[in-house]
Amino acid sequence: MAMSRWRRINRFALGEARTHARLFVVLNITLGTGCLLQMFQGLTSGLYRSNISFIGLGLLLAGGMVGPTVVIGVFRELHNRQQSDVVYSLPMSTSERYLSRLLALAYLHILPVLAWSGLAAITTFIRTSFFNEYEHIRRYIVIDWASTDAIVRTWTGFLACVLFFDAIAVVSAVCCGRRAEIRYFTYLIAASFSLAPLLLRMQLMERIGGQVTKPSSLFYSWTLSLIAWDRADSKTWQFVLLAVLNCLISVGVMLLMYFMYRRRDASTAGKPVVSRAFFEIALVAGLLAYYTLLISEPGLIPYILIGGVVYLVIHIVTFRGNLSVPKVLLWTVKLAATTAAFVLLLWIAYVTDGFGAVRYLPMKNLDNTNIFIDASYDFYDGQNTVAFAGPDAYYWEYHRTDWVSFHAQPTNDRQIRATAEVFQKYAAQRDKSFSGFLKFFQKHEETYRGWNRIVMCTMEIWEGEDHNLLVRQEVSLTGQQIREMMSELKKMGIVQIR
Amino acid sequence: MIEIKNVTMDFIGKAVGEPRKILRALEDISIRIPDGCVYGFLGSNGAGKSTLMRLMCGVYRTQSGSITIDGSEVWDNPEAKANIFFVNDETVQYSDFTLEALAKYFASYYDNFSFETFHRLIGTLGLPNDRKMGTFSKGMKRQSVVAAALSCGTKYIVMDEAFDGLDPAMRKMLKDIIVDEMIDRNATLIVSSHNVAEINELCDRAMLLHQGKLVFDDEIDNIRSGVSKVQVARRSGPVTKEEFEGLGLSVLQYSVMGSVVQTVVKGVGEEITQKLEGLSADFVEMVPLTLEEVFIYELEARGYGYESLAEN
Repeated sequence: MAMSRWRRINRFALGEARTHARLFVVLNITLGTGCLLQMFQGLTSGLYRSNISFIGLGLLLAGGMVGPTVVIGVFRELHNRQQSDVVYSLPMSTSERYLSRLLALAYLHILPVLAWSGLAAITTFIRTSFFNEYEHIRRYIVIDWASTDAIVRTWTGFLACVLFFDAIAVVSAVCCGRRAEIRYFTYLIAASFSLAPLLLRMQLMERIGGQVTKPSSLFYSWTLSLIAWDRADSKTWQFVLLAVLNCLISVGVMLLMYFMYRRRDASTAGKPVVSRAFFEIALVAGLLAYYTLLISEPGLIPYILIGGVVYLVIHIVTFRGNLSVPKVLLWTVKLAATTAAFVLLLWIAYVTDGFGAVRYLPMKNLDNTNIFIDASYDFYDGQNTVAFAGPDAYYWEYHRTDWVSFHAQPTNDRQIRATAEVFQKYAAQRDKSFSGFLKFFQKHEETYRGWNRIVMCTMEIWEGEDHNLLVRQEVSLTGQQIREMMSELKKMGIVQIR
Repeated sequence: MIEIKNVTMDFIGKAVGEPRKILRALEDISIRIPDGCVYGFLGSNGAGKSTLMRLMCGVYRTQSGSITIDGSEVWDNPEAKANIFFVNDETVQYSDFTLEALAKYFASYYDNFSFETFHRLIGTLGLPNDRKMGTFSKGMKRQSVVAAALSCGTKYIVMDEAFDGLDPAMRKMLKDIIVDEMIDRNATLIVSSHNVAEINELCDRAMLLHQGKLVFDDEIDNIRSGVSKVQVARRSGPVTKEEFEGLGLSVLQYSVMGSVVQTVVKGVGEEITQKLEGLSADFVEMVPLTLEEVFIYELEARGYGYESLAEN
């Protein structure tokens, strides 16, 4: 029974895929050319030149990112009234129809991407491992594990991103009823879902809370931001695990969208957006990502207007009734409310010192840990001759009149926590008024002119000189506060003031 | 048999930016379409014919009531849908197909698809097998889709305005092919058209929809004989509408020219003649009606027509 059902779904999927033969051929030519260019990179430019064909990888990337086009083609019954008449009347159950669409997407896009990029990865591995070292081949085979790591990371990361993009395109296809909306909502959601969590964390916890830790891998587990994880201090197996998790979540999301798909029939084809919840979530996520991006640089804040205009234009484009002044006013109020909610979120983060992030220290024994402290002084403060040193006299002084950096080395967990408490006490003293809040966002980037800052890094010591950053805490204080804080640390024997 | 029971369909503005008003497309429709007949859907523009056809083919979900094909509910039921093929009023969706690709497409969904029938039909119709349908004329596209529909081997074929826009020779050729194939297989054809004469000529049974409501559903002969045009002359003065109604006649249309009255009433000929004897008229004549006239008078009686528009 299950087998015959699977055969039916496969037959329907092949029937659907055949109708997109032209797209399939173009896609495979693009991917194949990219693969060949990458495969033979070096033959024309010399074996010891770069291992990467940028045109080849660009073509593979282009082939990987056409997911929305394939999804729009495969799920045509959702946005084309004539097609919906044909497709919905065919002898398939809703689940068979949905699974056959996903399978057709796999045949047309996912499998070719997997195959061509896999071939490119394997051939690159072989070339970099053997032929680039051909001097050694005569004696023994050398496998270049550094290259292997990079290849594995690039390939798995690429596949995860392709699947993420396809999954978001499926979400948009199932929630929208018009081709244009499927396309632009896919880009909007993919960008905002990838950016918003990381940017928000960066602004609320790191910038306002003054605390930088390595984000949990949860932040990278299902978005395009996985690419960012590649730059983080992760081991290859961790990255591959995360990439596989990313792929699984994407497949899971595609399968879960069945529950939305089955609510639809042909009467919703041609309507711009079918799910109100999807519409609101997508726009709020888009605004969040955009606003968070803008507040990182005070000079960008006026561009909030552009976000507002786009927000209203999307409402106008998707609205199917007669436009009226009250309608536009209602959308403007909604936009204002979302913006106000965002400012409120920032304000709450500000008064709570990044939702208490300032107090964060890992819940583990910190005996084998060092603290590094950087103090930046107001250039015009007149206190620029002060320097600090750790109790073991193991410090650096960068001979700058306005900036000192030193390495304090408390001996145990208790001292580390005592130092952090002093830091947190001063961090919590900043001006909590609304004007202080506004000033904070206006002056953040002017660190070295008219601004005082202390940065404290708690570093776990690994083998040899390898360090693992546990927490990076940063706070902006007045010159007087910095001097008081340093005096307090001096009394505790953490630092010495020369 | 296709059985439609108490079906009501509302289009509710659920999508984003859509006014949240309800448009009632169909209201409490109940009909039975027996096997082996040619059934005609008649109705004014926007009456709900296409909506009902889409519901019958599982394109729309039934909101209330039920639609069954040989006892099985049609929505989301592949077994039921394997017995029905829907030819909608557009052909643009097939533009990228060649005829061979079209056949393969439907063959992957319909187990009983016959390539032999398909090739025989397109051979008869003289359709090119290797050209994309986007390059075909409207008539050729229609013929192609009809050939595919007949090749799927379904028991029921539903055609929504399938002959509209075709020239008379093409219509006749297509109708002949369809009827021949359907008779051979004892299949059922359900067809909608604005051309009442065509329904009259092609169908055994028909129904009339107006503003989502069922006006009648019967065999064509019964429909025609169920409404009569009567001319009555009386020297003492024309017979009034109230007098006709006083005799228990349902008057669809009434007009006076001097002492001669022309009226359209519901009922069978003999029954009407008996009732009219009570009028002591000098002259009574029953004029047979065509299906087109029945269509017009029924809709005029429901406020749909030029006179109603002029009054408004």
